[in-house]
Amino acid sequence: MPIIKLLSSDEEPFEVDVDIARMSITLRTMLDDLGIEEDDGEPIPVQNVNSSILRKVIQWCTYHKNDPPTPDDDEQREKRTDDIPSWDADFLKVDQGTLFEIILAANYLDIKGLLDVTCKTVANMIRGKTPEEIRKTFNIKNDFTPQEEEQIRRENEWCEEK
Amino acid sequence: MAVQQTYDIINYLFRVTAFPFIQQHLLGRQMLANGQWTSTIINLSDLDDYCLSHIFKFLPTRDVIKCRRVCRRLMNAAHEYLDTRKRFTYTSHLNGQSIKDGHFHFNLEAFDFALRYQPHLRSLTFENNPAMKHTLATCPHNIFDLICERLHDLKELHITRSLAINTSTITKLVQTFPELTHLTITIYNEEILGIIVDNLKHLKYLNLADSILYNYEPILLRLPETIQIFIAPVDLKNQKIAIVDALANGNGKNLERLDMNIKIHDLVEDVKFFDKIGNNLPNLKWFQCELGRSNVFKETTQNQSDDEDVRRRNSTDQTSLNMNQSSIVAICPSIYEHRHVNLIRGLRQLKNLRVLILKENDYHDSEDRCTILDDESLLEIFQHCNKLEMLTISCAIRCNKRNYHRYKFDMDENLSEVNRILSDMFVEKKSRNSITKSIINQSAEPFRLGRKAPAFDRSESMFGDMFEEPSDSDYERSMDSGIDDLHCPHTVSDGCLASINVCLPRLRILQLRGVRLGFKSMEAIANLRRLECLRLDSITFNHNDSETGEHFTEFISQMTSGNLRNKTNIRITNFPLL
Repeated sequence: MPIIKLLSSDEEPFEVDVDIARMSITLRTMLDDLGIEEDDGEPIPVQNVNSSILRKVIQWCTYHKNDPPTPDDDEQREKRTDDIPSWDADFLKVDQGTLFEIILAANYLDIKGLLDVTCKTVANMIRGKTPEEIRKTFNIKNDFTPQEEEQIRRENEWCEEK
Repeated sequence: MAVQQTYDIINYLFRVTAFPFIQQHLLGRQMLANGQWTSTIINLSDLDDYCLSHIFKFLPTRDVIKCRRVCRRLMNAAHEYLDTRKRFTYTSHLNGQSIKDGHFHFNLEAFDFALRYQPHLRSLTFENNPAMKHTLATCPHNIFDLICERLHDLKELHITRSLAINTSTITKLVQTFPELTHLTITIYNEEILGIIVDNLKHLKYLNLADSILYNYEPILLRLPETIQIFIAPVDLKNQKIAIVDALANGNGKNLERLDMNIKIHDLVEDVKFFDKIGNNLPNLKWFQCELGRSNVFKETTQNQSDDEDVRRRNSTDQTSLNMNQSSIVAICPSIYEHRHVNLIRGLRQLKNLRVLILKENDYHDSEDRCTILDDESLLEIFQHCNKLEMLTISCAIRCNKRNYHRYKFDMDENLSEVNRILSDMFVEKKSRNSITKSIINQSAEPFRLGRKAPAFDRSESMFGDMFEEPSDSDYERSMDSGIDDLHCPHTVSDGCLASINVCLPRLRILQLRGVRLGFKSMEAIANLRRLECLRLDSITFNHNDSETGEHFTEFISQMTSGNLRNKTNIRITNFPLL
């Protein structure tokens, strides 16, 4: 199995199977464009991902390397969020900061399966909560002026909990 | 994303060509003096628009709208997400289920809000559930005016019964959106159907499933050229043959999918219905038929001249059985129904068929009945329609207080799986946001048959050589086994189903209800290499097969051992005691 080297943003090298690295569309494009087949000594920098996150991402990809390709998005229906595999659920039992960093990394590296499962996890944290509960859950500051808030409250009145 | 990637690649190229570190300030991260990255803890509101809208995709619209109140960042992201949405389903969850004056209240504010913030919708669907149907049916507002006013690019509308449907609202609708391609609507007035078919020149999909219309064949002759999918209203006045004629004589002859809900009045006469479909609608890829006996169902055995007629028809039929008919009749008086009238035989001519769904209605008689889906017709269909990827055979089951079948054949869990596979089957490769939705008993849900089905073409070239053509001897063997016991099987038999792995190697979905299985058919099912979804309900086993239990255990272990085959999703309900 050919191996390539990745370099995290904090300059930590990782050795990865080419097949696993190619689960990232970003890395695949890079490898194809640069014609890199296997290790030629020069590590590929993954600038936006630090070592602890890159380690998680590689761990996820290794576990899921034999998954069938995820089907294309269709916007048709609200998507299910109750189908997170138990391994992934355990894997994503991390603090929120790490979870969001994995989302950013999955988006940057373009790994659809990982992006989906992390976004589902976040969606499950939002679902059914009131705005105040969402703020608390994610530690978000309410930055509306009182006037704005009143206006949005009125616009949203029909969908507030009875 | 593409832009970002390109940027990163360029960025990367800069780096390998020995540019020193190009510093990139990412969200919440800074580079320390020693070149190490550090990260401050990032927050939900630090995610970029793409990630936020990806999260919104997994939320019901109601929750997305609620996120507007959290903070500016989320509000803008929610607006952005809604503004770019192309497809939207108005659900009873979004509507809320408050009851006013004994009716579910149509939440006009919610509906107006949804349309106002999603002006670019191309597809608007009303959820197909009892609460939403009730809501729409009693909604006093003219929602069509609102739709015409707020939306600009509407191509698909799926709505059920609504008080607002009348000739003037529909005229306004078709004039505002002459480009509509998909329409689901419930109407009780033939004039409205005329307005629809005469004004929508691009109509591909017309679903009238819950409508009640009489004598509308002349209007069907005027269907536009583009029509591909037609879902007919319930056939209350036994006009089914005239309807097929009208389809065949107009643009309906190009149909790729046809759904009908019919009653069989006269077995011999109604053979023509299926013959005409087979002869005149050669492009059908999907045929779905719910059929039941009408109250005036004509038993062929009761009438001598009909009996003669049956014999005459079958004497020309090479595959007919040379059996001592009287001895069979003694065992089962209604034998002619399912053995000697090949009711659905005409369907064998649909060579392009990929989805075949036959559902017989249940009944409440005191006596057991035989199914009207006969083994011989099915065998011929299996032999000729080799492209089938989905097959549903649901035979009639007698309902009474003791023998009440508790399970709906179309379980929701199963349906979503089936829909997933179907949408994969008929996927249009390039366009991301079009495609499929379905299906089966959900009449208001659209389904798109792609004009071309690249997924299938591809698989054809990939698997074309893998499967051997069924040879004649295989076919004969299965014919023999179909009728090897003299006892009337009352239903689709083991022997008939024993041929499916030879004849239908492409099957991905198989749903059987009320049929009789034995070791031959179980072996055949276990050998369907591409089967992804198997649904069995209320099956029976061959009486003369003492080792049924063992065979079944072996069958299940074969189906679930995941070495050679893809994993098959199996759902079984109302299983007989062994």
